[in-house]
Amino acid sequence: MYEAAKTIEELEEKQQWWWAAEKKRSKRLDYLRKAIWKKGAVGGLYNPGVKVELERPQLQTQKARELEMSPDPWVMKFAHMFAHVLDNKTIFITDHSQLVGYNADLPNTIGWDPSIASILNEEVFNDPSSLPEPIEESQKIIADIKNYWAGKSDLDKIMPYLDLDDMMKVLSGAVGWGVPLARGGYSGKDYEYIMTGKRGFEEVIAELDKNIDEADAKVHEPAASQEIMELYDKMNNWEAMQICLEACIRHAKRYARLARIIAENFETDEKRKQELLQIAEVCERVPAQPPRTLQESLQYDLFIQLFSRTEAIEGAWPARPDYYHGPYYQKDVVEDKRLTHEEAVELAGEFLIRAAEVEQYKPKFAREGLQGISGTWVWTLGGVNKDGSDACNGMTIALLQAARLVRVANPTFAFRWHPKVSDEVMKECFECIRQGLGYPSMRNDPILIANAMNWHGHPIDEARTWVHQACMSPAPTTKHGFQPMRMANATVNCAKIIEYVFSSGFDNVFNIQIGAETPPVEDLTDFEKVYEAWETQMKTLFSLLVRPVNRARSLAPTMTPRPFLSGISERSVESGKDVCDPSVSRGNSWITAFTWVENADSLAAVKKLVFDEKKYTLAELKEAMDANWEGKEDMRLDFVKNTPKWGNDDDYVDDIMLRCLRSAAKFSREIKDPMGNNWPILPENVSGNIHYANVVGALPNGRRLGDALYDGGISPGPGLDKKGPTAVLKSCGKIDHISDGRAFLLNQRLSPTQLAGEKGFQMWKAYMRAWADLGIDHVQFNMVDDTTLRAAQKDPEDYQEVIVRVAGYSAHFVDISRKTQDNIIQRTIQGL
Amino acid sequence: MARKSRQEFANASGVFGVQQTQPVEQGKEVPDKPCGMCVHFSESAFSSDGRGACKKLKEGSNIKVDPPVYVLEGKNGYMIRALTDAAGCKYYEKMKFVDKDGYECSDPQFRRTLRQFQDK
Amino acid sequence: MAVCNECKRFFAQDEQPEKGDCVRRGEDPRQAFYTARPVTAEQDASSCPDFQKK
Repeated sequence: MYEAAKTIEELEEKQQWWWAAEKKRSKRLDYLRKAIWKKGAVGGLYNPGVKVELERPQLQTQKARELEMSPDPWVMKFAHMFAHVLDNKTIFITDHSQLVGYNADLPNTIGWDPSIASILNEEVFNDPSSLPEPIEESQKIIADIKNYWAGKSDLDKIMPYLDLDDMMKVLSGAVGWGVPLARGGYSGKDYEYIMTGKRGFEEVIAELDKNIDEADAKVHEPAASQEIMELYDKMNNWEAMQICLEACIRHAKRYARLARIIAENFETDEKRKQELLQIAEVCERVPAQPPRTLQESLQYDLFIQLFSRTEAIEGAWPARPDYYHGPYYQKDVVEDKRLTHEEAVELAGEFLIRAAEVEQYKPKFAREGLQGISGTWVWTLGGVNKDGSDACNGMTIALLQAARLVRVANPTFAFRWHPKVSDEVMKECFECIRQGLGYPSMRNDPILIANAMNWHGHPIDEARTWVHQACMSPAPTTKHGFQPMRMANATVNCAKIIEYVFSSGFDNVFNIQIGAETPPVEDLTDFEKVYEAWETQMKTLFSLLVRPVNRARSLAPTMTPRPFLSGISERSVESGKDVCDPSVSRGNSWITAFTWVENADSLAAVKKLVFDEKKYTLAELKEAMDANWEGKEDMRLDFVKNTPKWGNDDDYVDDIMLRCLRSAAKFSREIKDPMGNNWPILPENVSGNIHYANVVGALPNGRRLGDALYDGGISPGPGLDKKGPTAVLKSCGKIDHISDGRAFLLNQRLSPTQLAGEKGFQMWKAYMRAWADLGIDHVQFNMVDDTTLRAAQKDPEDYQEVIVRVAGYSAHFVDISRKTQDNIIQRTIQGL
Repeated sequence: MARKSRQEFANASGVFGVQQTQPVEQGKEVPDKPCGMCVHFSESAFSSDGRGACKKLKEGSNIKVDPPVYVLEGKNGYMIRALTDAAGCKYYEKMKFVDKDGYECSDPQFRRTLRQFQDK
Repeated sequence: MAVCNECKRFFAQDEQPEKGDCVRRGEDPRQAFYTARPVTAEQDASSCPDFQKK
């Protein structure tokens, strides 16, 4: 399908964007882009050639053994382990690179932190594909490491403090996704403290020194008080932060030294020699001191991200790179003219590549739920400044252009749209979408700022700093507003809510009672009683998953501290409290609602066919569902075809959807996080709709056990939105996107042929206008046609670079399982 | 749920993390009829070290004794491991693998993320 | 006994010459790179397959 002689124009004409990009990008970007090892798991397994690193876990275990008899408190021991890893791990500098740093020891390795969870270590031991050769040698090393950490890892330590009944249900995997850990989830950052150029790590260390000195003086005054009692812990925390930050500075200087050694001893090309000396200068400067140039700023950011991923498994990458790097773009490109725009784009492209390479060994449920990627790294672009003015800048454009050149599937962008965004920037967003990247997803900034203020009480200037904490949820980047750890297990497989109405809470797939023991469904005499049972199940599951997170968050400061993240957070540097300490955080929790829409469609089907038309009884429906609809195909098709479905502007089902959302929203204000704040729901799916396909039993919407679930959020079921894009938007617009929940994911497929050229842009803009006018908070697009996707299924080798939007993230089409691929093809292509 | 059975379930399912680690050699031994290859095996979602439950047999069953104890009624499944030897179990029914290379993940029954099952 | 200090790949630190880095050229199917790993000058290198006398 690809002919080398084709021109860029011809390739673009045929929508062969990946080949066109190859011709358009610089030699450096081309080399670095092709150097990426795809680290996202394919289905449940890592790609051939990708290996788990064994150096870091050995270093960490070695230090842990050394420290066993040390009198230091845990937070200090932890900091020493962190420092030991950074001081001793192998580092590398790839040819042609300008930015350096990686979280494991070689380009093809994935990081493994053995101190997180024994069950993760067991997975590494049993991994069929990613152990380094010779396997037997590796297994011996892994066995020694896992045996050491058994009973000592974070999860092992936390688990006995959680409620056993709850955890048995959570760990069944039926209703939740993840475990409650402060070092395993989505970590926000206090960018307003550390990324605004006001300070580097040395200034923070000086601040910590001052705090320790003052506290030390205080505890030796002729006094005894509660304040003095608290200072002992604070001094330990401050010292641990210092140990971490000092190690980070040393680690960066190791790169500076390596770059100089290469330049002075090995490199013969004069231009490259200068680049290496430039790298050395940059790494001597940051993170010790604040950055002065765009390269320093990007390197500083990259170091911070990698250090944080040395401290914890971070499944997300909350960031706002145009906002925080924009001032350096302005200075270098516009004012000082020391860089051209093209050079800035190249740096931005390399920054995307460096992020795309990062991977940490993740448990199976995470690999399957995030097929093809290493985590939901949705970077935030656009939006407004704290004063409400447009925040878009030259770096916004540079990043959007760089994304089209390097075409990585992760990180991706989400764009904070607001009425003041210029056409120039909108066109750049549109081009990324039209060229098949599937990103940026579009977010409605005014709605989401109001939403953040409504749900969590963020003041307006705090709310305006928001970034995506993971795929979807807005979280500020300020002292009290940022969230240090969103623990993924408050993620509800919501299709179980309606399933449990029919089984009185007993899970027929996992053989345990998980939901509430609501009355037998055949005894429910009207729709209101069915709805009542649904509400009870909803409340039961939400509470079940929220309780362990609340408990783990409260335990985190003492049991699973994060001294590095604390060290770059104003609230911890100031207070001496761990960054997860609820007393210094405003709270920004949310319940991710996987597989949500099935509830509305199922309840509508029950209401219509059982109670309105009295065509079937609930007993008959239960019998059919228990049999997975076997022998009842006609009945099943009745429930599929002759019942109203969400996404068609049909009030019958849309009203049920609103009712469900509002019941959940009301309950969201009754359940509280340890900060005393609310737990709103956020319907979205990642690839949980596939992960849960064989976990969710038959449903009243006609779905069978094993069928893929809907692709999520408030997206209609694939192929069930039959009335066109306006009807989808109208259904979604009935939701109050400020007060009905935290955010709502909407997938749409559009035709790339229809949207070509200026005319296409104008059509898309009109669509976006309608979307904005309806107050919908999110939409994301797939613009790859069926022909290409089917061809990619047939000849995956020829279509390695085709990217699709899966849910809250993008992935290379060939890296997701067949079932997920089919699910994307089934989504309706909307003609505008 | 009675405290005692909760404890048993917890131990078997590994809720408290790994309490006994198996030596390297033991991990190599795959019985001819491992529970992990049976259609009734339901693997725990949270680890690939083979923790799981039997969907046919209920709590109180024991297939490791002779004669085996089969409990078919009850609320909770019988906790086992993928490498549990099911040679003596009369309900053993080998599954058909639809996924030949281990890369398909849609069906938990056909996930072969355990190294020991690679060539089975 | 060969020690790291005698190897071409050993680069001593200016401030602490007893410590240094073992710097190597690496290559995998996708890229070429240089690695650095901390070693001490007197570290036993007799079983190091990459030892190259200065």
